Amino acid sequence: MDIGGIARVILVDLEVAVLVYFVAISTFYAVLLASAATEMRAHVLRIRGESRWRVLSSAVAPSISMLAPAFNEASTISDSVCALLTLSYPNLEIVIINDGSADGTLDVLRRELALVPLHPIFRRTIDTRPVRGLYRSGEHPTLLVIDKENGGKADSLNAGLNVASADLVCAIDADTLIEPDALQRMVRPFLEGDRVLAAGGTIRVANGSIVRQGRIAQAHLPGSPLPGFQVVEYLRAFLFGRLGWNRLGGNLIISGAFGLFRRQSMLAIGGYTSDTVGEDMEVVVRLRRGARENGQPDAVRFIPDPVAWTEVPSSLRILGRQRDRWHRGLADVLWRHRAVLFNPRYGAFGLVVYPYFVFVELLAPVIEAIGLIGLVVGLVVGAVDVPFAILFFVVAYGYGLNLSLATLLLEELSFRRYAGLRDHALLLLWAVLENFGYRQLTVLWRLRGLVNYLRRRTTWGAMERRGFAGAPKT
Amino acid sequence: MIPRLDLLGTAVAIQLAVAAALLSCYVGFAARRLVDREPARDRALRAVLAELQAGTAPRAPEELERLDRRSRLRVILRAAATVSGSSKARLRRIAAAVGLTADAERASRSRFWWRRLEAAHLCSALGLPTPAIRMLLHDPVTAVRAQAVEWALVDPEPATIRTLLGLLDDPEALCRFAVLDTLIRMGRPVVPELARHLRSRSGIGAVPALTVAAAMADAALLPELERLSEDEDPRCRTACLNAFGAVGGVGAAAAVEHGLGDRDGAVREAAAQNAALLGQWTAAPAIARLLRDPTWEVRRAAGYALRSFGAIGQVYLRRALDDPDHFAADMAHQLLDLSVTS
Repeated sequence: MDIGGIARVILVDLEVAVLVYFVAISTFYAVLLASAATEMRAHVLRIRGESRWRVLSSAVAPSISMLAPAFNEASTISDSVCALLTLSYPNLEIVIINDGSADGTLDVLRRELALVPLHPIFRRTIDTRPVRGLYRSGEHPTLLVIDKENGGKADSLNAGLNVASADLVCAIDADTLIEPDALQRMVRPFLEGDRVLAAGGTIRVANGSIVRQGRIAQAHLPGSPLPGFQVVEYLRAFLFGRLGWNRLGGNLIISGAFGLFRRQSMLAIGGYTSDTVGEDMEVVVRLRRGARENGQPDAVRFIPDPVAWTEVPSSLRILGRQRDRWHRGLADVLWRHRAVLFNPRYGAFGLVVYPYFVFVELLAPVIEAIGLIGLVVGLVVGAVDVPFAILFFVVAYGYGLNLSLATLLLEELSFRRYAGLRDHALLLLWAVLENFGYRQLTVLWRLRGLVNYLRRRTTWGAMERRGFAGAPKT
Repeated sequence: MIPRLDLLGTAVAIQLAVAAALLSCYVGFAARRLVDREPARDRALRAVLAELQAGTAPRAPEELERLDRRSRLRVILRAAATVSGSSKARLRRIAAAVGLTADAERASRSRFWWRRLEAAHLCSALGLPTPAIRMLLHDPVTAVRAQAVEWALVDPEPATIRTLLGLLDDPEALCRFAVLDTLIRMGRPVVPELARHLRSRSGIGAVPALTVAAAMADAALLPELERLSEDEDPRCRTACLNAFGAVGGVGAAAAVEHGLGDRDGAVREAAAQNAALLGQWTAAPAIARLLRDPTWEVRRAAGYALRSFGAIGQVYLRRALDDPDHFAADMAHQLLDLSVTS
């Protein structure tokens, strides 16, 4: 066989290998989807007709400290604080951490909340950048503001952990809009079992929705494609991905925008790690790993009905940066804790969950890129015929589309956040169109993230926000 | 190795069939919601609320009767969340008129856990004294058991209270939480049974009941609290001190002062906190000694307690500024809002 012939065989075998990989992960996705559907059914049956007044007015409900780091959030901080103050929970402390903002975030807080300096006694269990001042709102006594030198999000959360006094801490992004009853829902796994270390809620896309007084007054789909595709992506990630993991070994990611943790467990592991861009995932892995190593329960639950809304990037540049950062974070965390991979000591966490994140979440863009490039080259040199190329696309993208549709169906059967005809039509449209161009772009961004990780880039990149009040429609 | 066209056709056909099925289901459910069920439920809810406000004898509105059983249940549960007193009594009659009360009775014996849960939800929301729900206090499903515990609020009889106190040892956290919450909400009727329950308890097993005792803040519980304050388990002694702090009185103050010298740090911390709660300034010298305690939490609790005593506490804190123990001096510095010593 000549060199051309060998190259053709390699190309064809490569394509078949990629196809087999897609079929394998698609099968696992099907298992995940079945698990998510089962979990959703049980969850909906449990909460249907439930009155949450028991938690809302209970003297024995666990206390919660909300930790909201803010860095240069002057344009959105008022709405965010307003949303936090509307949260319905009986024993709630709100801690805003101003991470050395240079845009007057602290001035906005001072002006709007009538801040009074105070001197509480707290223990610096976790080392952080110096705290410049502590304030309590004169209008809302449960609201504390920590003003500290800039040290990043993880450092801010650690400062919040030091000062917070509640049993549970809820880490959020300051620009996240949390639904008023979300905490009553989110606390459920902690009431249900002593084994739960952390719980995460659903993040939904706020772009396109109407926001009033820091609350989503009407949920709508964004009219422009980029945020629209992200709506479908977020639904898929949360309602199908994370929910499915509840029954298959527990979650590895609790979104940094909305997660609830036992404060003592967080303090015991030394809080968040500052030298990673994936601090939200890293802390969950460390919590679970530490618990397993000490023979403790390591349950990390995802609850689908507590909802936080966030503004997603509406420009390719910013979105690309965000995905780059997410993938760098993923790579970093998986490398740091590589000892967990296939280690039976960690049970399902080491044998199922961790390998999935390595071979699917981390390496999928690499495989997908190899498949796409190989396909194009194969077609050009005539090693791969057109029917195979079509088959490849049908299997890879058709399956993805069907998973998206199944997720939308799951949403329609459970929470039904989008009510209008236009919203349903847009949701379906974005679910179909995201396969053509957007999905390939995310592969590129994630590959770039991987390359940047290997080149040891550790920057966050700026996230430009428009603010909710001024942009009801995106 | 190259797949044949028939394989391609099959793959495309399967993908398309699945997509069409999912799409049809999605569109079907969305359309049904858009044109039918939600507005009908909303109309029924409005009619029910209007009926509750009417002066005449309550009757089931037609809008409610037109709905299926599950939708009726949802409407009644939503209405129940917004009314109380005589309006709730009227709502009970409407629920009975549309057959929901009888259905709840049947559902409480269902082999499906979610049907039993529905029954417990309805009976709790409407405050229905359905005897069958009492059986659910021993249901094997935690969610059902916890909901039945919530229902028990409408039945604060000694037998029910005894059952609830027994459930304080439930293996499931949700159930224990529901029991604690319900007993605390029941209030004074719980006290005699609680005292009896505490008599047979010790160690960690007494802690949940002591939490209820702290919420009751009833002097009738003092004898049992005094016995348990000598328990071997520090968690039990801590819970006792919290109950003493809530009950108050001379006996409680003496027990709290005794706790300041406990061998366990968590107990000393609780003692300092409760001394502050009781305004027990006579314990200030003992509390000031705790500023030198090896446990940081105890030093902080002692400092806060001294600060809460006003002028007397300030004197002790100022003295502590020159304490040779630098931990005590440091805590005093912080509490007096002075710059922290290096």
